[in-house]
Amino acid sequence: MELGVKDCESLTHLASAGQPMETHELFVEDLEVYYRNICALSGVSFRIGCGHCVGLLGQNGAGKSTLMKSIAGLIPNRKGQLLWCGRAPESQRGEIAYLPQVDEGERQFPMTVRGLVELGRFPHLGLWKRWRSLDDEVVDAALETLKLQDLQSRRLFQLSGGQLQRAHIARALAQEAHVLLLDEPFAGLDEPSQQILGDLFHELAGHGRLLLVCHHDLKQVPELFDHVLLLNREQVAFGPTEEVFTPENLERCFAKREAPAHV
Amino acid sequence: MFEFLEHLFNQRALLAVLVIGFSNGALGTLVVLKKNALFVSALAHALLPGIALALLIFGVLSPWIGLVGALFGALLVGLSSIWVARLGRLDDQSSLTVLYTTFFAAGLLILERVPTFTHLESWLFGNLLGLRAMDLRMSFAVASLIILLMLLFRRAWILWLFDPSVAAAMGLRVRWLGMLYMLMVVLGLVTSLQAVGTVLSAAMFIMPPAILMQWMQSPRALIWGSGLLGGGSGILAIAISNWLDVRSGACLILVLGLFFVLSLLLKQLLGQRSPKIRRLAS
Repeated sequence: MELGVKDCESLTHLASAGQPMETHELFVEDLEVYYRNICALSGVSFRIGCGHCVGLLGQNGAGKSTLMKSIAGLIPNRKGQLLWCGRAPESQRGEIAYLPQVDEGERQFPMTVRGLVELGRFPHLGLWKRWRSLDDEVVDAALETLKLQDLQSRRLFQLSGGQLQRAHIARALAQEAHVLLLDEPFAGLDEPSQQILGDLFHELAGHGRLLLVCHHDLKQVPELFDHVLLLNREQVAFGPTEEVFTPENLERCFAKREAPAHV
Repeated sequence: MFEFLEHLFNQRALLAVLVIGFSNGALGTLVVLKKNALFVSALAHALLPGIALALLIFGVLSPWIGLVGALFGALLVGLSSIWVARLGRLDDQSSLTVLYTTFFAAGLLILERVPTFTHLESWLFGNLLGLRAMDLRMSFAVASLIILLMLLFRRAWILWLFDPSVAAAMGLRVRWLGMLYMLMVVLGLVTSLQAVGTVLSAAMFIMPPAILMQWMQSPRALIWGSGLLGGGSGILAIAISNWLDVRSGACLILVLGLFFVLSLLLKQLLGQRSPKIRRLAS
């Protein structure tokens, strides 16, 4: 069972039948995001369809995580447009999976890999719906895609960093999310695990998902991402990596900026 | 051996400790997984002025008045901690300590003023053998409510405990859940206060899941296991305290402490053995 591909195609089909707002597209225009009344990020405009792996680049405090949280619907205070498939992210919780940076403390949590992946069914089941065999199938498929079947009854503290990261991604697949927001997924991983994860990203994008990935190691950018979004508390540039990932843009992206202004 | 059960107060104590031990042990799993142990311990102390005020205003202390007082006390703590966090530049631990010691001291002073007040000791150290029928009824009501809420929102609790931001991104109302959690902890604490008193009450929450944490494969197993361990060790403690004629509340916490050490040692032993066994097997 290849998760996500089928419905993705059917939606593209719908789009060609004259319903452009139904396309799998993340549409962001003139986005400003506020923490309380401090503007953390402004002037973000881009659109990207599914099937891409987008790198979010910028220094600490550039607004990468802020943009992610905003797309995940965690920061309600924003101006401008932010739409997935033509609708606000808050109205389609299952569609967008948020994967925050892995907190080492969570390894102590008494849970198996399978238990973690099962959490992804929440948007479909809500608080009280009964667990169905369909849910088990989706979880199985997610574990299989991430090659975690053999590890499914391991506890989280028994996993390597790369395996834990894969378990989180399996959770996102069990959620049947089309957009995956990953905050620094490569942090703390060794070289082989990074390689596996990078290949996995290409595979997921190839199967019609949209991946937005916060990243700070510039060396790997060209091989990892087909598009990049450069941020420096505002949008510096967005586009295909070969066009936008240039020394001039990077210089602007990593230039020092004043502290955020109060509104 | 079981002749102590002939006394009504012993039967009540046994029932109470079973119910309180179970519900607070189960609820304690949330506290431990939320990494909130110190906060709950501080809150237990900070509830005292609320209860004391209720006692002062109403003259007599029925369990329900005590409950209202405790809720009022918790509200005071909550509001003042928000206030301190807004104004102060102090770290969390320090400001929490400032708050709860201040509240606790205020509670002691108010309790001294209460004319009918005779049992400062039972507030500080609990009094399982002095429970009245209505105390028992309140414990039952509170424990049932806690268990009901835990069952009703079980899927939400686990998601929220694992990662609140992921839970929020999935559309869970984490703010409401957080408030519900606080309410349950305050209610649970009031019943714990009766059993083991202010100073030790947090232990009824923290110890059962702390003992079982390393053995359990899922939050659900940990919740049920901690409930059973809490209730079971309560009964054991009552029996021992009767046998040795010592204070039952302290006895309960000591029993749990002993289990904790045993659990650690057992894990250590198994952990050291298992590679050897594996080597032998291969």
